[in-house]
Amino acid sequence: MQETRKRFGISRKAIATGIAAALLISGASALSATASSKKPAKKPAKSKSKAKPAAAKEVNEFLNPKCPAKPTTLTIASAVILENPGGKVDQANADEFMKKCPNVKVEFIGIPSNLLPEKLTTLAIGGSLPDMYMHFTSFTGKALQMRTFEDLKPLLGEDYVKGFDPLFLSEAIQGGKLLWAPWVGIPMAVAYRKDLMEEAGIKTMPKTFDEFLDVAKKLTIDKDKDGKMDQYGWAMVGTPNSSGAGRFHAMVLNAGAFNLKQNPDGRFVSGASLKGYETALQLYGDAIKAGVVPPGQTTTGYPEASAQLATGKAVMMITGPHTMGIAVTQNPSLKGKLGGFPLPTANGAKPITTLNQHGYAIARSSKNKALAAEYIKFMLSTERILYYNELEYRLPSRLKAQADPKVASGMAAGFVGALKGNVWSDSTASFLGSVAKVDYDAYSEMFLGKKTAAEIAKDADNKIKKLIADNA
Amino acid sequence: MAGTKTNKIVTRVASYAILTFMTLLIFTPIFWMISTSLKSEAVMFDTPIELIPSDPTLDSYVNLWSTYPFLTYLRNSIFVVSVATFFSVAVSTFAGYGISRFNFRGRGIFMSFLLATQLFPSIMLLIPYYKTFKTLNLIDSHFGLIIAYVSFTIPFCTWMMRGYFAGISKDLDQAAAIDGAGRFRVFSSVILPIAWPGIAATAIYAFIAGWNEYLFALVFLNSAEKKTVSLAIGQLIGEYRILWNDMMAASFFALVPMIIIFIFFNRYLVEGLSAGAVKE
Amino acid sequence: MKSAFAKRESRSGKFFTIPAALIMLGLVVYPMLYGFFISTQKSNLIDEWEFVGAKYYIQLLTDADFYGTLQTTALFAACVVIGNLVVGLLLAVLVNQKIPLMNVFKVILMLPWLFPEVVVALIWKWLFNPLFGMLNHILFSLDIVEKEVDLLGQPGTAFAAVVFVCIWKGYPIVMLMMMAGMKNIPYERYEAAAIDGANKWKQFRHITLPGLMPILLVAAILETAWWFKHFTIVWLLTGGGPARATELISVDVYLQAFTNFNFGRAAAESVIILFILMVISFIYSRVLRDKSQ
Repeated sequence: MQETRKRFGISRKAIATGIAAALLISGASALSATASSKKPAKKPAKSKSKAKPAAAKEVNEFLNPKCPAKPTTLTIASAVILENPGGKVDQANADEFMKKCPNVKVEFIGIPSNLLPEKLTTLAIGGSLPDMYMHFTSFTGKALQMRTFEDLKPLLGEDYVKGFDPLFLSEAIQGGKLLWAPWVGIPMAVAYRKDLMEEAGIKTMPKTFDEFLDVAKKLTIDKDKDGKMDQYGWAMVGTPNSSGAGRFHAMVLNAGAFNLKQNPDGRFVSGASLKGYETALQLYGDAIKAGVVPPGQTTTGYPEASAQLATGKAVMMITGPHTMGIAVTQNPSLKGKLGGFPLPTANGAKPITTLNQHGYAIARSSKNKALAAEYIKFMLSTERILYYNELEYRLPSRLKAQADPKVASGMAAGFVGALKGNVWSDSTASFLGSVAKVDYDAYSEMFLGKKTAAEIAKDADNKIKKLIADNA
Repeated sequence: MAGTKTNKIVTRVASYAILTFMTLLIFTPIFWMISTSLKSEAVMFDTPIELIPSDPTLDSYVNLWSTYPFLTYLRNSIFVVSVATFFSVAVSTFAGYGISRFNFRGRGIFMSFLLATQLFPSIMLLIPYYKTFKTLNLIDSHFGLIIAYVSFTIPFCTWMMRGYFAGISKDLDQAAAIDGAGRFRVFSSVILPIAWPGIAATAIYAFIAGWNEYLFALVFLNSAEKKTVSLAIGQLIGEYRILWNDMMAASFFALVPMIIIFIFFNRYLVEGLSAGAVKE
Repeated sequence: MKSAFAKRESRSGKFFTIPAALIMLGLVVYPMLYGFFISTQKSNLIDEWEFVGAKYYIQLLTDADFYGTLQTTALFAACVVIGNLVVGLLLAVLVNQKIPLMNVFKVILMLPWLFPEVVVALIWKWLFNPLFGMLNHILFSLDIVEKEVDLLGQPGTAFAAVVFVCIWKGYPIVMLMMMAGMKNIPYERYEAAAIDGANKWKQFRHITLPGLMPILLVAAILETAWWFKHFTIVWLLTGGGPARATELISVDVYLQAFTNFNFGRAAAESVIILFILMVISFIYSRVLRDKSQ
């Protein structure tokens, strides 16, 4: 009896302690769940999914997420949800997730992407960031300063993280921490209308700036001989904003220069004093003079330029593959008629491109980090990420999804190919926005034709140096 | 007097000419707005440009009600802006009366202060407002937005009401006071009833200001079901695409309630601002 | 007796104005003080605060670009305010005539006020578009031009175009204030003048204009403040271009605060703007006091 009671006594206490410990541990792991404690769901696929081989260790598919015990609301700030067709993907992901976990409510906070900085910044400062928020690389500097990031390595697990394309990771890992889960990227190349290129009899894609200009001239045609051009060679984004600046900078890179770089010792340097900056400006100026850009380039922003491409007003556009997705959504007859080729370089060197990725970060203030991590893994499962790629042609960040033949084929081939060259990543300077302003003020000046490229480049160099000094 | 008669005709013709020109200038964008709202997505960027769509479609308008919960947005806007207008007008009427009737220390400072509040860039108010409201738990709440709108409109409304009260003779106040009414009774029973035109004018100003406000609504509201009409319109300006036809249809709809209110209250508006606005 | 009355006056006055004062104190003074405070800090507004004193003020006041932008803004505000005052006054005088159809015109002329700024900017941007816009379409069909006209692409015409659109949006409220002001000028004065043989122009110069002086000047102060701080329409039309020809100061405040996350500098700029506008208001009110004597 004594023994039993003692056994019971100890057992009861042991049980109690054990329960307490279990609660503590599960609570702790809810805060920093590690992949090793999570078993990837390998239940047989439900009706729609394809049959998967019973792999020993699957680190890509998380279509059967671990659901929380109590009803939980997961808040996500997204700009994509408001867009079309991207919004369909976001909603579909949420709907599917909620089907799998009926006691989870996924709530989107839709923010128009042109107002994302204000809203996210205000939310962050006010301490009310949602559980997950959409992150663009341009926001990195700020988010680092606000320290809103939660390191995702422990939440997602090392094995899972290995499944990301290293190119995406190199931008997303700062100071040894994974700041966001890369979702998709849109490498920059030249998007063009295949049908119109053929019509003009152009068989080889331009590789240098000069060739590019030549081809553009050949593509600028007065079809109905009424004295007005009906088709132009280059749908240039000439607006004074980050859209235009990003494209200009891509040309600067391909001329062997850059605007801002951070040295290993932490100091920033300006690249506008390099010849390449001047060369890129000259390209822009020459294009306007040659009349290969539709008039009104200073008010032709991304939407207008992609409309020019979609309607055949212009044939080539420096952009990412997502433009094709949007064009096809607007005009389904364009399917198959679009393609991409790598950016031209000033003197035939290997092209450089930019990744322009975005993904999702988990806020440090979130109370549902484990659930958010589950959602991210769900969203990044191969079939889900391929759905996004199918609609918008954005490049998946997961290696397994990238391997899918559909991704690199067809209209997106040229863009995916561009990633095989060199890729440039912006620094995380907080004043990157002002540097972009120097860029767009520079090409704006070039359009006016009153100063030479050399003079404008010198001005830009001085301005960037002043920015570096002011922000030291 | 042939001279004056020709003069009269010339002035009349000139007047109508100018007014008609202005009307054209005003209607052109409106015409373009309606024309675009009747176009389908595919035709929007067609050249040559069609001023009158050859194949008009009501799709955008249908979209408004089916794809977006436009009715919800309308309801939200009407609620937020009406309540904000009510409080703003109430507070401003009080203050305007106080300034116009009583000479107290700090009156001048208060008036300068009201003016000074109009001189600070509104975008810098965003974060301190947000922090304040967060502390008061007013984020993602219509009431937070209402309070913000009230603060935006009080200065101008107070100025308007003050001018209006200045035109109402103080003798009326005295007469009522002699009859034994306290200050507040004088205000509520005697002055207020005849101040309705001024109040209507102030109300229209506050309503229009709140209806079109966009930035603070965007930052303060999170849930989709709390959104206002101006947000709905702004959302159609995507980074990658602008849904012109939908946006024009939405703008048109957003305009209609205001035009109705405006036409209805038009008389009060001009009457309202008149009495004494000049008497500074 | 007097002091008791004065005391009661004071109490009543305060009683009526307290609600407004409280709301404004809490909701406008606090942000302004907050703004002053962060203009002296290098901060992320959450947990990092570093006092830097007048660093941002010095940066701004020694930046040639800053002065350039201020100049552009001042010119823009001057053009729009004068435009609004002229157009508003002219139209108010016209519709004040006792001739048919004036009530219809009154409503029509108010319409621009009812549009949200965002919609106004986008519609006009579209109308000005060289390829797809109505302006070029009309110019071409009337054979006035041979090549597309890109109004927003050249610095001079872009500036004029944004001023035009802002006047289009802004004149109604001035017109309203003028209409109200004129209602208060006793009709007898006009009658007397007409009898004395004064024509319309003379009547305007000697009766209408002086009678409107007070309200004109108040309108001028408010308009100046509003348009100096203006952001939306110009931002959407030109983004500040071409080549900074239409770059207004609030564009830079926005850039510093939300793109660069440099709140200290944005706040310093805001304080400088506040200071400039206070000086302008002070000058205006001096003139106002002189004129109404």
